[in-house]
Amino acid sequence: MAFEFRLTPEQRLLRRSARAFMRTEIEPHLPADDWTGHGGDSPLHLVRKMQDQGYFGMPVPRELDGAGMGEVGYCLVFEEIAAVDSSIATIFGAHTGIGLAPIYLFGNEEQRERYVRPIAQGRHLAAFALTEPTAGSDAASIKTKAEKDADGYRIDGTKIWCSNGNFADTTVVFAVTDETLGAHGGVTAFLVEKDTDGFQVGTIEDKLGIRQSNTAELVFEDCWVPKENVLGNVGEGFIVALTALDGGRVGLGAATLGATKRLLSDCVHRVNAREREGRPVGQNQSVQWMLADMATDIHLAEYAVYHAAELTNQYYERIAEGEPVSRSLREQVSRAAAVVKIHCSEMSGRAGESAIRIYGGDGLRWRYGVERAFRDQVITEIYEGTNEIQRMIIARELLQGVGVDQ
Amino acid sequence: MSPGRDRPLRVLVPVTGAFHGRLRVRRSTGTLDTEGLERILSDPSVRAISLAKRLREHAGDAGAELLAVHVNKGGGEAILREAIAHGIDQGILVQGAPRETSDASVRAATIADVYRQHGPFDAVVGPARSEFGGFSGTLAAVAGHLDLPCVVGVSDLRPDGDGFGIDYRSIFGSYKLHIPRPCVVLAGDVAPSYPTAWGIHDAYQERGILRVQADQYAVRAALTRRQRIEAVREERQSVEEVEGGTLVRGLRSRALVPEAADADAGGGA
Repeated sequence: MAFEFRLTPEQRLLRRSARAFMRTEIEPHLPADDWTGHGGDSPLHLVRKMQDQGYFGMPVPRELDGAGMGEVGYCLVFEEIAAVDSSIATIFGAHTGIGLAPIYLFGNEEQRERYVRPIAQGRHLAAFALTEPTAGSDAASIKTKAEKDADGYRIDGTKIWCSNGNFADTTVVFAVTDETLGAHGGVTAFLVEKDTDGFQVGTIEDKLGIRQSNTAELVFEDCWVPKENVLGNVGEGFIVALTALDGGRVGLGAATLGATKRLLSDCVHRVNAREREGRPVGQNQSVQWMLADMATDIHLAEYAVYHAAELTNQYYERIAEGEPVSRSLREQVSRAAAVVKIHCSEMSGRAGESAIRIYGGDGLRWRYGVERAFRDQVITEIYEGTNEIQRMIIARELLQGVGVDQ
Repeated sequence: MSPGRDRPLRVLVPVTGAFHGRLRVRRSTGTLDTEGLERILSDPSVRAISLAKRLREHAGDAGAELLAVHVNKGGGEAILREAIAHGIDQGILVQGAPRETSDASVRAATIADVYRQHGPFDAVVGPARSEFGGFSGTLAAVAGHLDLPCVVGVSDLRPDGDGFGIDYRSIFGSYKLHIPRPCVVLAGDVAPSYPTAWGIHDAYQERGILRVQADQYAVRAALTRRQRIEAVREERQSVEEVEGGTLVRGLRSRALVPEAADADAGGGA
């Protein structure tokens, strides 16, 4: 595949300014540790500052008050956010990648005005509710139902693992509207506002990592929404979900890339500053190999992420404009997103282990931040479709001849 | 509307560039190796823009129009677009200036020319420091060209009657002073601002930059670098050649050597 990628001056300025903003205005104000408390104390005051910078509407065009920076701009900012804090990065990704994107891509004009514009302006936050107690990566098994009545739908069911679920202003909720049709044709996406009757927040999960990102259970009991809140066409919810998840995985790759770059930078600083037996730790060949492996992973990840981001951008622009999307493009995006998800999440896992070994005993002490980075990366191999599912996507397309001999 | 003002304030903000990335020195020549490095808006210029924006905030409904000017030494358009992303209303890129634009006096003459041609302005607000952190005399020279009052180290700026109220900090303390309009203000310790994603998009996609050719007459009117270097060389030669007694008399005539001290020294010998 012929591929040449170079950031524009606009994108380079975006990256540089986002890095300066995150490291000056956000990082010094982060809680010193993430052990005290759990969900419910997300640093939303810092999120508000980031919203004021326009980061939470990155891919939305200027006509709808977004930043008009596309998927590449979204990934650049995501990298810089994750380099500072993985919990805030999760809030950002759940909002932009899978919360906002499907509303913008599949929403009609009225929905874009009502939901996308305030989100792009930085006034509202979004979430995405797909996973259920009996349906994780197998999204086709969801049980939440939406019964049609005269003017709308009544939603009943429970969603779990919903990032931002307890404070999002708008949540994209997937429910079965026709049990006989299965995932393709039987699932519909709905827009549910936070104060809707019958919509309650359940348990906030206490987790191993990304502890300052809220992960909520959402309970729907006779929750009525008007028919105007159907997102996309009735029965096409599965397409909405898969399309959003493709972009979400690319964004997740950018986040792990940013976090791993920061980890490498911290490790280099550490091994130059710390001495053992009269010489810097960095002069040990075993340490140099770990650093070189991290740098190699990062180098490859960077190309993979921005290649996938560029492809996703083309894909999303066509959907947003209502233009036909070729099957070839859709499959290329799915495959590129799956590759990015696997490589980047496993890269951050390897980097986390290496960083702890480089730091030695200090790597296990919370104040150095390495153990936190190690805990935060564990989830990246699981959420937005486990890596096992991603391998299935790649293998299935290979067996169908997609991407072979390109 | 502030007293004595029937239009929005107009502020000229001269901005400079800086190399972004790790600077290296070539061992063979001792010069900076800047190949492949991007030119970006310098940090002192970012602070100057922040100060100019403070003035706009204080101006209230009357508002203020901020115009950035950059004398191009390379990467000029990107520097101005970054300035626009920070909140500048219009960028003026001076092109075609001779190579001597790295000379502060020539650059000052060029900026003064822009001031005259695109004015009237109520203030020139700019950076006090160069990209490498040293004090920049360019804007002081602009004040000299335009015969305007100049103040250095300003941390806040607001309309105040027929002039501006300024917060000024020096090694002796912090002061609130008044300076008449128009004037030249060099930013001091002002917190930098960060361009929003919206601002960056608009700076590149929505906004134009005014390109002007350097006024060759104004540039020639200032000393060229060659002229200045030759002047210094001449002076040094004359000092080396001069006889000791003549030198002492010359210094005494400029009050650099007191009469009494000279008399004591002479008596001792």
